[in-house]
Amino acid sequence: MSQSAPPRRALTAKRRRLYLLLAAGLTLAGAAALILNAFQDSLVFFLTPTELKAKAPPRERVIRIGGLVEEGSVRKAEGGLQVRFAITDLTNRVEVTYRGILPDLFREGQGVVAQGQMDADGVFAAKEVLAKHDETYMPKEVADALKKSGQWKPGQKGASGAKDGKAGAP
Amino acid sequence: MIHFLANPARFMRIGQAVLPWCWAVAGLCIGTGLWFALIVSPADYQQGESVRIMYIHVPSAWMALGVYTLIAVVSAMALVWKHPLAFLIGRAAAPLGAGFTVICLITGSLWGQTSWGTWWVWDARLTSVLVLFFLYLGYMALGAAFDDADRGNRAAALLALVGAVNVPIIKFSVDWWSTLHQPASVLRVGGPSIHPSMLTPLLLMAVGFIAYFLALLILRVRAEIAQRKVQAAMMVGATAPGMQTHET
Amino acid sequence: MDTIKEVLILGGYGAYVWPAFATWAAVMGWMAVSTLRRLRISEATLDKLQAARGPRRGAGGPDAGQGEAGP
Repeated sequence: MSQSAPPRRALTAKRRRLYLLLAAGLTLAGAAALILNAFQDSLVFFLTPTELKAKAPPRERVIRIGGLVEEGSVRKAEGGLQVRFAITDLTNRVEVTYRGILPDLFREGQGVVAQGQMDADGVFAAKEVLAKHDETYMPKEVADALKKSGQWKPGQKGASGAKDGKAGAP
Repeated sequence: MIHFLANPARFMRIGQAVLPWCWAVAGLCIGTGLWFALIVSPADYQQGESVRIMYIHVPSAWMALGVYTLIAVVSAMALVWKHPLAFLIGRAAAPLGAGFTVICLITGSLWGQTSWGTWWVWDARLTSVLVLFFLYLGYMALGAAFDDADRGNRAAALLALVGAVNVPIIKFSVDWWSTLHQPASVLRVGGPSIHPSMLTPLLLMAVGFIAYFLALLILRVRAEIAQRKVQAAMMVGATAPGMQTHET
Repeated sequence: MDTIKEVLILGGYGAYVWPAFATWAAVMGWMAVSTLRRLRISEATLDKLQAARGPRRGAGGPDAGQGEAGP
């Protein structure tokens, strides 16, 4: 447009750079995919109860397990500081004990991630409990109305927990 | 279109024409967005009032990713077609993208403390966004590290392209691996899982952020062009180029 | 008075929501200020350079970088 540069040569140089860049990009993407695949285990933030059962990591290892707080499983003692509950992925469940303050969003039927170790009786002794919320946002009135009209799908609330189970266990 | 806009003078002419509209849209959308976000929109059924952080956190995260993608695209164009303007757009956009990433990280940390019970975890989503922030910093540092501006631009553009692998990682980290961060709520298969009363302020803010970014980008590109002219004039010395200034 | 207090406390989340919005406002403000400052400095330098060159018009060639504008 601006200059009448030798068209043929300029074109091939540009083409060459373009192809070079595309090739480099593909190589890079491939390498990244391989690396991420290799480090799959450390990229996973937590194990679901089902994965825990399948992998059975050594007992002294500090791990995180995640899932939903099983409905009706929460027992509190000592003024609420000592808690016992179960984490479930709707297939398997793990009993958890924890001493400390729970996050605001810790609720039965809601997502949770606990960090700690398995003890001798197969109960998970958590040192830290984090709440995990799902991707659904709505006003309280809408949630209540949905529940009242029976349109509340149990899977909906557990969506994130169940999905994580799927994503984590290929 | 791309080649058409690659001419700095033409780009600036269009930019000057678009600029007032960007300011208007930014002011209007962020203004009404804030009003909806803080006053009209309801509290969340689980998270209560803390959900209001979403209205700045999520659009900032989109911008952080979007601006980086823009930088990667213009870097590729700059390296392949040697469009002089492409480098300048990348340089102009980077500090803004870094700013959005900072907003995303800090508001996310505050939100995480209220909802999850922790300021920070090293899960795949949070870590990859932190990497994005460092990529922005590295891009800016590399661009300024060379005495020869062209070499700096090329090195930074290469870094931007290599770092582009991080973009899909950020986006899909919540689907590929188990993370503490929840999956996407808006850009997801099956439509948004956010009630319309909360989606409205979110989208208003997002449009406002984009317009605000574009307005500042145009001004920054103008500054970069002026800087280029200063450099060129200093270097050439005797042969002062016929410069038409862009009136302020 | 009470409503102000209520808004500040925001259902117990005010301590998180307001710092978040303050951070947002501060960073967005910084973006604008730094952009305008950069623009002012670079255009002022350019003007000064041009003024120094005075009446002498350059070769009329395209300015820095403008020449290579695409095919």
